[in-house]
Amino acid sequence: MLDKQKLDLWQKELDKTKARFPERKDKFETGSGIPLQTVYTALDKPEADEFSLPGEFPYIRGVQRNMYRGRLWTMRQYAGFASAQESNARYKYLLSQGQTGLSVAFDLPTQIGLDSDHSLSAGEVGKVGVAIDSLADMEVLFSDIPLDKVSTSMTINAPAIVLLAMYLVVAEKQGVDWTKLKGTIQNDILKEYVARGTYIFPPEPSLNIITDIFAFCAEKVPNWNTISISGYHIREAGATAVQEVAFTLANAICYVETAIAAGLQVDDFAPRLSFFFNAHSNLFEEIAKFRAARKLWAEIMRQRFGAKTPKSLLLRFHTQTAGSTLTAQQPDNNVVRVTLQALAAVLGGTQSLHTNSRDEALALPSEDSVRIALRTQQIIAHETGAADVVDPLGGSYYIEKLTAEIEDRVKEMLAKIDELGGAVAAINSGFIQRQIQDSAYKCQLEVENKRQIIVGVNQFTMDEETQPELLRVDPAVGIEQQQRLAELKDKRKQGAVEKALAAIRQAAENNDNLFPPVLDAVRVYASLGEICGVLREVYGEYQAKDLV
Amino acid sequence: MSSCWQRQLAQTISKIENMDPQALAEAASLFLDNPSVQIIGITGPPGGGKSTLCSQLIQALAAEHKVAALLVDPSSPYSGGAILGDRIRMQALVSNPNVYIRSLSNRGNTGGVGSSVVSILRAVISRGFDYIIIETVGAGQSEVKIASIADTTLVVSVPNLGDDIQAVKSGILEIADIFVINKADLPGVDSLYIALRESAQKQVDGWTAPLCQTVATQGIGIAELLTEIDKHWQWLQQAGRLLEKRKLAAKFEVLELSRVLLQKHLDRVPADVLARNLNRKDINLLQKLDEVYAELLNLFGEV
Amino acid sequence: MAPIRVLMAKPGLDGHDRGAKVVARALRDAGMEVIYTGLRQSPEQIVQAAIQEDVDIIGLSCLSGAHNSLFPKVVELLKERGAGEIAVFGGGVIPEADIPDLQVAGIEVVFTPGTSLEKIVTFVRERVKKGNE
Repeated sequence: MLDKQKLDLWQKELDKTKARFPERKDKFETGSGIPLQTVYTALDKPEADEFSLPGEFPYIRGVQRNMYRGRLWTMRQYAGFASAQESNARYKYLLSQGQTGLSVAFDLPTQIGLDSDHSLSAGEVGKVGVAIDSLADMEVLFSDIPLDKVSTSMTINAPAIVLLAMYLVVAEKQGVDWTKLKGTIQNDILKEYVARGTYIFPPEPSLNIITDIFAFCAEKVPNWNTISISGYHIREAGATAVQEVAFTLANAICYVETAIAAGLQVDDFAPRLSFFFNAHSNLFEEIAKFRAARKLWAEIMRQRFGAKTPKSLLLRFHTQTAGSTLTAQQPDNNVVRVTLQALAAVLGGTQSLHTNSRDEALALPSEDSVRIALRTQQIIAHETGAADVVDPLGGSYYIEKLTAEIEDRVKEMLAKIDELGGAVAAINSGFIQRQIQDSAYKCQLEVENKRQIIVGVNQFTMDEETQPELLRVDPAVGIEQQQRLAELKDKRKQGAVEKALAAIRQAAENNDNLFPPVLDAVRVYASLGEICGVLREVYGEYQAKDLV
Repeated sequence: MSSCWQRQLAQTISKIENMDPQALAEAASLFLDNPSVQIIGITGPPGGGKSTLCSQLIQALAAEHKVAALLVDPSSPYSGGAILGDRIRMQALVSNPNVYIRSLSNRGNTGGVGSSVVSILRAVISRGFDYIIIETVGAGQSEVKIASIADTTLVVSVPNLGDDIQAVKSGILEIADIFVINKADLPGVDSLYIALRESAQKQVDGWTAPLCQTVATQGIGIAELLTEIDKHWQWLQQAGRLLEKRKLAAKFEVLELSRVLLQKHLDRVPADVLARNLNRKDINLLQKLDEVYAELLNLFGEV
Repeated sequence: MAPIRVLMAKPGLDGHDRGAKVVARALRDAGMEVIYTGLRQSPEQIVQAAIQEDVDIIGLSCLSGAHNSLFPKVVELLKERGAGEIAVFGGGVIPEADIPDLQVAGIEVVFTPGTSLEKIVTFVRERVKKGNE
């Protein structure tokens, strides 16, 4: 049996070795600043949760008992660009290649509730995702894709209510019952203010819209995940793993509090909350991070909010590999990076996964690149055995210690945010933004100083490099989209549109649930920009609290 | 195009800031006593929402007046550089031809403003603005130079920043012509109001500083604040105080210019002295400073 | 020596500002005065700010692929408004193949992902020095 005495003797010998052969770094620690011992032993094992099992509180080891032995994670590649027609073709391609769920990327004008003919939309239409101006575009996007057979995740936040309404009407027209629809809308406005930037309205009315969606879907679209509380973007903006979890959970707490304050029962909406995390480069910190997050959420739901249904306690999450780690130099290296990051997500128990393509530091993925990204998941799933045992790293001295460390540090940060008055107050005071930006700058300085090596960028560089064939979005897309919108406005019944927009305005002013009038407006082909325009008038626009 | 005069003004300001002798001389010949422009200073501890408040004031005024805003941020004591971030909240105003916005670093000066600010003011005034707003960070007694420059000084506090006692202690309250409690929708407004009211009660030559409450992010209280700003302007003119204020600003300007010019001279001299002395083999400066000290005394006279 | 004044701008709808902010800090740490415009700036707003602030150089950051239309527009407007000597550089998610056209349009340098801060700071310093000669 290992005991402290033996360990001390071992350490003394090691110290002798280190005196003669200095180590590679003067300090070994994770990106979150957690110091790393030379080795972990039984003496490091934290006492609690020793006999925790998957599928049982506090769910450190997984949200289900048999995880991927029952069903593999959903392979859900984020995709969308240019016109609805081209995106529709890409979706059909991915489904034919074995993708098991759809994930829709919208362009920036759509994400910000602007039509393709708005002055700020110039140059942006169809570039980072598909352009959707109205129900007509949505119908093309899902043409010949049976909505009762696929689950669809839509990365849309500020105008989520409008896009979801469009999706529901498309389903209606396909003859699919809303109770059969499966999918997610991201609908997480708080992270937009600090990490992603596609906000429209200020926090208060935005939170009200979110609870409108919770209430409507709990009743009418019960299998739909109404929110994907995201840490991915917070991490991409520069946060550490600990900050990623802490700020995500702080936002989640805010959403739950808001919904309860609006009169909803926690067990009615909590089962449909889902999360979205980043899979970054430090394999072990990431695995530990996911495990810690599950435990923290389960405890928060039970202790802080008194949730009773087991389903309310589950941190179900989608993961995306870290885009910010992809390099423009030697892009094939990115396949390796993504593979290891994807492995971390799988070993961490994700429910659904998107793997980035090798060329994404340069452009949206080409068809070849996105196929390799999908194959990466398929190889992990079918060739490595990683999916055959639940929580395979559970019990590792290192992983358990790291999980506990992350948990402690996240709790500390959550307490701090509570002291500040919660997520919204922390955002309004700029606290969260400062934390993220400080981490981002620190991270860059480490790269500059070569304390952090990025292969191909600050070491192992190559002089001559040719970039691979990249996807190009035809600038004509913008013009064609504007034409389509103009034609639509000609054909539709203007009177009905105006009536519907007026109804939205009234619901917004009276604080009624926005969903029904938005549905009506969508049905008569009011444009996204028109609907959001009305809401902008009532709620105002968010003024960024921008610090550097 | 209106950009022409804006570009010229911008370049003039840069030259003055950089102590270009010709620019300074030209500025010195411009008038400071122009009575058709009101100079409004806005200061207060960081986190008070001053930039947002400033933005709201400009927006309201710019509908019918020409408004210039000088936004001052501190420079880094290590590098001398600065992030000038106040402009962000006002970018929506930038397409209004009545508005000119300029960010300035305090160039390492305590007091919240750079030493050339009054010279800059002369240049700005000469362009025919109706209002000039100077916004700076100010938390303590040393940060109150804005009061020597502006006609109307606003001190902005917010509830719960621990301001209540701090503010009273720091002396910054004494400079306020108008108190603004921003973020007045937050808890703690009442206790802050009470803490400030005491200082506000002191009348200065017939002007009692009013307390305004605003929620700048929502545009609440702005119209009322503008009314108070206008009332102060009326009082300044009726009580004949406007000229006094401008003279204070001119005094500040002269003192600052003198200081800056002297500093340059000072920076040069000890370097000579040191250069001469550091390389002497027979003196160890670390141990015996008295010869150098004697030389300095000789140069500058007894303290 | 007069500090160099830089405008860091985010044209278009792209909300990813990590890079722009990190570069702004690095320039500040190198002794420069940096004005950051915030998100969602039109080329007109950027140019107007550059003129009012009398900056020596403008840095444009765009990760949404809209650089080909937005960046040249900034240069065009600068020239129109008599501020053509203000240099412009860019950064973001920009394919190499786009860079020659951008340079022809007046964007002097484009810093692609992986560029060191040192490289950017050095470029700004030397470019402004050259412009002042």
